[in-house]
Amino acid sequence: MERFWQIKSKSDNTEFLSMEKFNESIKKKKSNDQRLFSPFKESLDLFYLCLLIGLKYKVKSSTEKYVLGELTDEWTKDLQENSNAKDYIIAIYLTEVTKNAKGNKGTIKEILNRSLDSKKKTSLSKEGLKEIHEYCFGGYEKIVETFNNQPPSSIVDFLFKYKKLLDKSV
Amino acid sequence: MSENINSVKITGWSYRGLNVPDYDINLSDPDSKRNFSLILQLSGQGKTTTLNLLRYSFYNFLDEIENKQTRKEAFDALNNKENPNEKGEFKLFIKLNNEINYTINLKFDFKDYKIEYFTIAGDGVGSDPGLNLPESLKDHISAEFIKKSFFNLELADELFDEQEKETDKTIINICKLYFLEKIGNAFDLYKKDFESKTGNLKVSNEELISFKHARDKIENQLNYVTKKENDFLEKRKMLKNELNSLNNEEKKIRQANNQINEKLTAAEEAIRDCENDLSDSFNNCYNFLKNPMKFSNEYFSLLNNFEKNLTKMGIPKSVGESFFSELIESEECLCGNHMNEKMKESINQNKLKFLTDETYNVLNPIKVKITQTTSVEKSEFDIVFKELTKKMGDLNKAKTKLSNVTKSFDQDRIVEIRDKKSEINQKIEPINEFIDNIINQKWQDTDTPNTESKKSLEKQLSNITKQIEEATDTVKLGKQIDLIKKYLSEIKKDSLDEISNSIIEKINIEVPRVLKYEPIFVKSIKNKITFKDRTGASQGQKVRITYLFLIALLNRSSLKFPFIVDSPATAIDDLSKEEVAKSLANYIDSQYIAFLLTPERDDFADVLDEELKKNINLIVAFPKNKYTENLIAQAKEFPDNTEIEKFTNGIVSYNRDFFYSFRGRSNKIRD
Repeated sequence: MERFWQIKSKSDNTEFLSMEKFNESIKKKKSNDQRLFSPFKESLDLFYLCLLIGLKYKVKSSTEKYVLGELTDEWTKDLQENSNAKDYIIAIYLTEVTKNAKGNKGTIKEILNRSLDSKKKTSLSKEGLKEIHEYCFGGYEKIVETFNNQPPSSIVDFLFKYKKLLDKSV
Repeated sequence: MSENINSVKITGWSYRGLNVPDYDINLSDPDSKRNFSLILQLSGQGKTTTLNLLRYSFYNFLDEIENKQTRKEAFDALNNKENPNEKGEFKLFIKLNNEINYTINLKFDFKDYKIEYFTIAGDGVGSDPGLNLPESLKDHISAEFIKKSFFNLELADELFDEQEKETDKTIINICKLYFLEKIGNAFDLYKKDFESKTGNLKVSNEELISFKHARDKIENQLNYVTKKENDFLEKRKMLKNELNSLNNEEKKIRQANNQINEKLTAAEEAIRDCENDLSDSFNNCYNFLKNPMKFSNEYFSLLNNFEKNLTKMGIPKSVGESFFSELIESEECLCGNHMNEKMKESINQNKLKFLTDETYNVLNPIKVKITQTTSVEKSEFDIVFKELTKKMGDLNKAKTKLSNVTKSFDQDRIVEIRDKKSEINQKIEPINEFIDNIINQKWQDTDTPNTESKKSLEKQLSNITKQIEEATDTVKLGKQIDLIKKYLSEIKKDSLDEISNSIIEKINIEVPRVLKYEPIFVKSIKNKITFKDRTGASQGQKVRITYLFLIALLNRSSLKFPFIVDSPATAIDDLSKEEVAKSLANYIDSQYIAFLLTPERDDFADVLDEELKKNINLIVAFPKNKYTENLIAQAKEFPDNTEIEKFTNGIVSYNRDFFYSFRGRSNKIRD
């Protein structure tokens, strides 16, 4: 796994709403509806938002369960330089994966070495990237459940329901 | 007939049992030196039908319509509306190389929606079934070539539209650059044939058959997607033209009524402001979501604690991977002891306990970002989302206001226009989605031949082609053909560039004369026409530049084919009409046939007439029925060269005076 991926379909559920379809309803495009003003310009935006939910709810879903479609091989400029979202989300991921190390310096270093890799465009090692995908897909399952396996009716609908998910105490 | 055909001239046509009176039109051509014909008609009296019949005479577009309903509509549009016929007939008379007569006879069956072609070559009486034009002419006459030879001024919008890439398409079709692709495809066919004959199979016959089936499936899907793309492009073009004409109509109504215009402009501006506010509001929400330390106090503390704990533990402090690698490779350990296998293994295990450079380089900036982030009140996050509701409400209110303003004018047409525009925009959206996104989706190894992504299908085709080449031991041949196709593609590109540059040069030479009060020079015609030192132009300027573009382009073609124009001078001012007429008269080499309405005549027909020293056919044609009694009376006042009794339901006049005095409203003529 050297790049980001999105869910095209789910092996055991043909009805499952793909991330591609979900993205179609919120991603910026020339249209006559709210998508014309959408803040989500790239498919990786949905990946990021799902990852945030996955990490908040600490839910992972194995990548094996899905047929995947390619996304970019690096963080978008908007998530990287323009906003630092990439750094915050990796930091949240690291707090999650190191929480059981209980302050053991050696173990923490070991986990950090295992998860990060500056040579990779994603800044994540192969193992780290795989785990990030598991959280992202877990988060997506949570989002899709909130939307009853239907694409959001508008950007406003998406943002409101998404915020509710974020505000919920876990 | 193997003779090379370098000119086609239309000498006339006739209608029987169609949506146009049963009359004949003759385009006289004394000494083979008359190129211009203007046909004056009433609005809604068969102009579009005639243009379609002329198109169908050269290319059987009707047979390409697969959808039954669309086919029925296309046939019904040709049939007499008041008294529908079961059969209809159209004959087109042409002259090739100014000497060989040809008649193309189209017989329509309106019951079964079928068309039959017959061709009479030379002056013989026998007719052959089919559309049998000389082979050298058939080479020219593709669907696209015919479409481009029949113009209306909607092209003036298309040539300036980046999305349509119409300039390149027009040049490629008129200058036959698509032939280069055809040559490339011929090589592919040769290779396919060779593959089936070669005896050097590297796989079993069954495997090869399965490869070929896979290739056929991909090729079929690629053809299907390409056809769908072309159909969608045509449909989008049509919808955009409809949209442009509605915009122009709305503009006219608004220009005529200042009060309406002011109210509508204010309501539209309010919507634009609300849309901008909503857009800002969306961005504000997402900006918060991109910074978890700002939208959540929990994350703020969590990440700060994480950073502090790492710092407390002295993390990061890195030791490069290379340090351990060099140590393992060295003869001695740092302590001076000889490096044995056990020590090497121990270093390998323990090195993970030291932060590598690769980890350090990611972790350190993250720590810096965390320390630099200040917290904000959680309420701010909530406020930003609450704003969203307000902005959405404001936008809905602004839209309702516009709708109420529109309805309040007692101008039903404005309401109709706006509803129609919104309907058209809804129709364009899925077409844009298909053309801009679906067919351009990147190839993925999980893709199947059922995808509608052209990019993916092309990649799949390339993959299976390579497999077949390896299986049939034709890799070398494949590479040679690829090289030839690459050269052909480069030739096409270079030719397109060269032709484009020459057209730009020719247009710009004419600009000071044709646009003398405000000369605007063309900078590029790559995909669309753009100007030097300015971004746009008025409709009249666009029309004049479009004509210059077409004249320069058509004069390049080795085949002089009729240039048939619907409404040649609509939507342009008097000065533009005059200058366009001068350009046409003095620079176009092919036959020019235009169908015009009375408002287009003044400052256009007279200028052409004068420039051509009366070497022009000026024709009036209209139906003979109870609604046209005034027109019939007008015609009777110009009996010379006017066919009043010749046809049962139509009148055709070749009388110049009648042409200039003909008015749709009969009383007006004598005021």
